[in-house]
Amino acid sequence: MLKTLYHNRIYYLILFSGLILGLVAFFGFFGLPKLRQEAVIGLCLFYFLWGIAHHLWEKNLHIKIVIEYLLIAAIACIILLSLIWRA
Amino acid sequence: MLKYLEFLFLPHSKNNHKPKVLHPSSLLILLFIIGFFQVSLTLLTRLYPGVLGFAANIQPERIVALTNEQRNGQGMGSLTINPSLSEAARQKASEMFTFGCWSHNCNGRSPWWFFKNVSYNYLYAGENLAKDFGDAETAVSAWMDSPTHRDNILNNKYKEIGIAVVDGTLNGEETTLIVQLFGTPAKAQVATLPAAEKTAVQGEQIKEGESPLVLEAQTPQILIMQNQIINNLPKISSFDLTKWFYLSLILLMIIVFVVDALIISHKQIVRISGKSFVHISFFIIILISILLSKAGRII
Repeated sequence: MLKTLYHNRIYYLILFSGLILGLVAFFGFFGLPKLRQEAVIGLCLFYFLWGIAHHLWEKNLHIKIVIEYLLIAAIACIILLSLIWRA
Repeated sequence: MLKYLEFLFLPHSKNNHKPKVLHPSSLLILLFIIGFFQVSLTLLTRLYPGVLGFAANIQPERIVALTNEQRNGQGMGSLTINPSLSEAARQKASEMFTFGCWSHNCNGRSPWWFFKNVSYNYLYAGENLAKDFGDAETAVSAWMDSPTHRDNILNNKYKEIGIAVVDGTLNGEETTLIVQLFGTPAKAQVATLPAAEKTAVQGEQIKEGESPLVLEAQTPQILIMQNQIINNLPKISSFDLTKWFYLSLILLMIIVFVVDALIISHKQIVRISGKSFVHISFFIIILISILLSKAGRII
């Protein structure tokens, strides 16, 4: 596990930077629903693209993996967007 | 039953070594469940108004105190409560509930209409609106985070303030509206009439025409605004319901991913799948976002 993390450290550094940036934007734009929505869409899109890029890099990209990342990003997106909408 | 739960939540030869709930078909179903939940909530609030929502006990005086705190912090003078402005704010809130609108322009009336309706002749005027906030601190903090609303609060041209905190049912959901009006009265004995009045936009102050006219000074109205509190029955808002539903859902997903990752790693099973560790990290970020989310909107 740690070996894999170290081997892909650049990829994981990008991933965690993106996730934390998304989290900061989500709370930083409190009171500005439009910007918050854009931050959520950006975060989910980033996650999906990161997943594809990472598996491409590892040369094990498969359509099942693409669908998995797409669905997980979509679930997160709809959850956060509806939370903004209900706030 | 136990076997079915195992099939759903644990990697097994019968589910192709991946919990059934993590299969793409199940994730798609989950997406539809979330959509169905949201549609049901919307229908519930439309068909049975007042079932969902909550009313907060916010004191108007606290809003004024917090607003003045912000101004004093910037070296500005405090705003004084003007009962006429508070009455205008109450009328605005009442209009919003009556016509179910969440906007600065309600029923074809701009915010300035309410100023005039209470005979408040102004040189400068502004309006901030908020709803669904649980306390005064969060509402004022949200206004301060928004540049346009902040500009209204920290505008040195304003001298007076009017506040109304009113409970009611807005678009099928019980809520608490906060209407904050700012104004600078046209000087005693000398007032200006609007030359070209701007239409209302969010948190914007307007300046009236320059040509002064001599008018009678307004008689100060003695009016004490009361915060209209409707019975505070313990109710749950659609936001809270959504929040708790999502928290349970995401927590369940994280647990399933963790257990799956541990078993797969222990058994050293090779399969075509995304990285569980990455999915867990992503869902933890989503979990934090849901956990720390607060209700409340401003315009």
